[in-house]
Amino acid sequence: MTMTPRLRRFALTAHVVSSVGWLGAALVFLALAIIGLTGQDAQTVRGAYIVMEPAAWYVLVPLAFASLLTGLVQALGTTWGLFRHYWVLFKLLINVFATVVLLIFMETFSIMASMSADPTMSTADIRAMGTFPREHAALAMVLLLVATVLAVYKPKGMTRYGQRKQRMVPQPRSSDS
Amino acid sequence: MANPPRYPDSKGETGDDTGVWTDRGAPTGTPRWVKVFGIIALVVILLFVFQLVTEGPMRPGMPGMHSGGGNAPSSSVTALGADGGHG
Repeated sequence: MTMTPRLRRFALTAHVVSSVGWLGAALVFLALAIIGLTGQDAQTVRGAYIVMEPAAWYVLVPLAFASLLTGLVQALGTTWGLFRHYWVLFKLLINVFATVVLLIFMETFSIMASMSADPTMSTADIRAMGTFPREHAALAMVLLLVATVLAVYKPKGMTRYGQRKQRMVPQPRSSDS
Repeated sequence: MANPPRYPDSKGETGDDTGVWTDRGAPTGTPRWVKVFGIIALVVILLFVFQLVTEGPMRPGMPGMHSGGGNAPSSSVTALGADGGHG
């Protein structure tokens, strides 16, 4: 199943936009986490954690799924395939891993927002949970940066499955032989 | 001499991401970068699973945490922690 060039470019654009958007959103979360840890104003610290939950639901989760879905379309709709090249395989694993981690920790965002909205919680207590989003936003950024580098450089290397599939495809003739 | 490019991004790159290329005759072993990436990925996943098993999605200092870490917040934790909140 191969897409037409026009459709392929559209799918590629959607994949790049969603993936880079996800990377940008992770950077914003890292900034929010640092604000939560180092902010001097109590309202700002509370606000940083309160805004994380809706931002994660409305930005991070949709972008994560959009990146995964458009990546699958891009892989399956072109001759790159999903399991033929190591760089595609690694990108898939990174995407799935980062999405699963995000979903697992969505409940934590919710609890952090509840704690931050509770006026009886001290700023020090709220700040104490700030290492969690900082660590995970940093991990997400590293993973998504690696995925971006893989997508741009496309390092060589075919899986055994890819090599098997390639042997089945007739090769084009050399012009000067 | 004019063999087709072994990779779309090598000689004759079109920047088109078509994936139409041939790798016939290339070494079939696993590239070194794949081994390095694989080891790093394994370490990251193991660290994450270890953290998840020992602490759960919560962190010490948060309600619903599994371990009884020493830096739990002193105020309002019981009220908020009543709903559990850990997976």
